Amino acid sequence: MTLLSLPATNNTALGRGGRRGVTLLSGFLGSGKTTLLRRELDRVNDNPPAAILNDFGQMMVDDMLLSVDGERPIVLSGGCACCTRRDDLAQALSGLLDAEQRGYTPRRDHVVIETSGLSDPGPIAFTVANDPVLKHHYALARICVTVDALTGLSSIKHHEVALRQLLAADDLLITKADLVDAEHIRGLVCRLRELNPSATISVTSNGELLQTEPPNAADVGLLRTQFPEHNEHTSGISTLELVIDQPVDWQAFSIWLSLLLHQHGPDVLRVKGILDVQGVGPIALNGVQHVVHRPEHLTGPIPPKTRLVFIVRDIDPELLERSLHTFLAIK
Amino acid sequence: MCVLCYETPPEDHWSDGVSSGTTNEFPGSARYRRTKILSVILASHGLTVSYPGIGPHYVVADHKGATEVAAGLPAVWQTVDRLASREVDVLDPTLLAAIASGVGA
Repeated sequence: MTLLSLPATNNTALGRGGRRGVTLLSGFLGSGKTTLLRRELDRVNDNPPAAILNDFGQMMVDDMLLSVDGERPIVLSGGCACCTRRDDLAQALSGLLDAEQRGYTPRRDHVVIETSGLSDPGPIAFTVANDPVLKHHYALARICVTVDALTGLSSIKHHEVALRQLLAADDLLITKADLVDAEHIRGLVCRLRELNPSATISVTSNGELLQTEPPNAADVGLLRTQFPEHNEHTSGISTLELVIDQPVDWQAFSIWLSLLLHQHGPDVLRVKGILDVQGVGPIALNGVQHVVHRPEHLTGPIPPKTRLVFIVRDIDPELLERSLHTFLAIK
Repeated sequence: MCVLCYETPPEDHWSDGVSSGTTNEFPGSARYRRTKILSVILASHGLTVSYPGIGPHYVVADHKGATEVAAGLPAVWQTVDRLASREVDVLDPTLLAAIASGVGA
């Protein structure tokens, strides 16, 4: 595996029911997405992914730097893949399938979509997960978001989309760490951890990994005695981390979450966690904004208890928690 | 499309991705359990929910006789939006109190 969790071997699609993995590489303008992707493509020479580049501007230059086996990546320029170029993204992914089936290109088990710096990852994830054709061939693997060590916090403070990118991330990749001192990096990691406790945070410089911070305990399975813990933020963003001791009734939970997303979908920025489902066992749940991916049954040594992380906007975490427990208590 | 009812199957929904939620499994038990929970939630809004025993469909009705068939959980909420006189909000303290008072009933 690499910084973007790209598979080194060619048989990983079996674990997704034969579907190709899709990694979204997002991050605000100038945060080092292309530099990182170039280094990543160098590392996976034996099993290169297909690459799709999206840029807000009309003229692309990055595609010339990102050739895979001599092939240039697919380019979507002149708009964002989350809105104006969303249909083009779906066509590009369909085109990859078509080219494979016609024998024009070798099968790629993984696709990396480098989004424009102004794209919101949520709608792109929705396209992959819900397009009637694509959903049978592709599965979202990771959302990786680059954060400029020097300007990242300023971008998050001043640009709504930078915050949305950060909150959607499975992996946060701090770039350009060589431009700041260690104290600055520590402060940045703490701030990012406050905003998105469920993400892995990696510190990089020129595409090379310097250090990795795992997600908070609630997400990696360490037991917590505090129940629950809230982190309030001035921007209206709140994080709720829940640990539930008893196995969860899936029907009650899924009804609650679907109703929550129906009424408050735009304000539920991230849902992630492991549920200990009554009569079923552990499952992984992953949602970005109103898009929830099909739960994944987990095997292996998973600690008991349900651990959930919610990142919400303008929703009272205590009310959210009370609501969930009220629904789970329905007999 | 179903050759009997000419209906296009609803999209897969993430909530159907877990096979069971109960320990005493019998055919359709998950659907009946879901119907029961929906009934508890919607009772305070004057709506009833029943499961016709076919696929992911639910029948949502109000006390005045308006009845709609909803194919899947997202369609249930859309139907509820049309039939209920006020919004069914998962964060509404009144709804939570009503559900809590009916727990175990």
